[in-house]
Amino acid sequence: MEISANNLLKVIKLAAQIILENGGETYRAEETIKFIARSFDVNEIESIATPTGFYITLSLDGNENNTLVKRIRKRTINLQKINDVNQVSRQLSEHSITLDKALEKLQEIYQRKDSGIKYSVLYAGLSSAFFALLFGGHALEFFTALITGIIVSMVSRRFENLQSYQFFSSIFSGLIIAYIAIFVTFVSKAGNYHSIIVGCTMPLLPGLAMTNAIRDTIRGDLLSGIARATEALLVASSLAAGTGVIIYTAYSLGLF
Amino acid sequence: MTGIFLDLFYCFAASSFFALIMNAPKNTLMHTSLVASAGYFIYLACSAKLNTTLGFFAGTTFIAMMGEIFARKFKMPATIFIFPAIIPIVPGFGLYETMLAFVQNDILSALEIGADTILNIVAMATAMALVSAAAIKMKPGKMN
Repeated sequence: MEISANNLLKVIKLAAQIILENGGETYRAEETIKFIARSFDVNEIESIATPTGFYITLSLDGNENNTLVKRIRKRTINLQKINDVNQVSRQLSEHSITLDKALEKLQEIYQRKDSGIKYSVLYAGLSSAFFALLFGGHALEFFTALITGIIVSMVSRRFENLQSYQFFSSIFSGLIIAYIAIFVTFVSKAGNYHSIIVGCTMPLLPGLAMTNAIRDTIRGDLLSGIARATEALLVASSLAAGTGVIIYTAYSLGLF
Repeated sequence: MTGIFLDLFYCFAASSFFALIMNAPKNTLMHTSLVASAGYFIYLACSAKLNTTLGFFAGTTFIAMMGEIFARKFKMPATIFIFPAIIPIVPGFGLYETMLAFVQNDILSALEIGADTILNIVAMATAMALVSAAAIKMKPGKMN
């Protein structure tokens, strides 16, 4: 099959970009690049991916090289998109779809908006609420965590386009959670603010960054492993700083 | 006894809603949540009978193993199954208690709880790493 290096690079770039921007491991991005290129019998393919960007060099005939550099600025988590890219790369390697069709599909995946912001906010609230129950909460903690989770999820969406998104959204989430938890338990003179705070912070903990850090390190991607671990540490410590400030203030004021 | 069942139900609900936030594919939700509850049960049982760190290790091993198995069965990335299921086990309460002790100026117990929490996280990491390494060994050069 005759293909142009340009088209192939376009497909590969988009696939790797979607994986890295939506919380996939870096080794997955590299393997997908290799996987797609190999299925088109390319002479040479080499790639280096890190959580903040990737480089690809591709040569169809062994003489002429095409190189592409892409910086990844925004990182969110969307498991559905990672799965969809995985399907496309499988179909490509089985030659059940053409390169143009794959590019079309990838563009559709890339531009797809998250399914209903309203629902996602509600899910965040419910998840926090059930975690509050798991950590020893009752009805009051359940409903407080539900409302807090919804508010936090709405507020952190505001920070999404910021440069240092993770730092700001974590620290403000921590502040809001601790403030509401302490306010509600202080006013109602009942309930346990610990379970509200832990319940609401559980969904915000950097579980994926931690998981990926380990999986990347095991595969020998030391650089990515360290980068992910730093990300996890940053999120966890800014969450702790946010909640800590409010709790410290509450203790200093003698509320508890 | 009912307490444990309630906890497992809470764990099931929390992790399925968490999977929904992360846009996990809809047909994996049931599996992920069941694995999360089973893993949490293993964690609770081991912590009660043996010791806490072992509980973290055993629970994570189970979840990671089930994740790799489902990944091969569904032909989907393993992260989709492992990540939402592992969240209930992450020692969030330990991290919170560490922070609380620091805030209360109780450095000694902060260090004690902190070291314990880090040890538990390391246990989880080791479990995940071992399962992940075994999974690579079983199917070399093939991504999931």
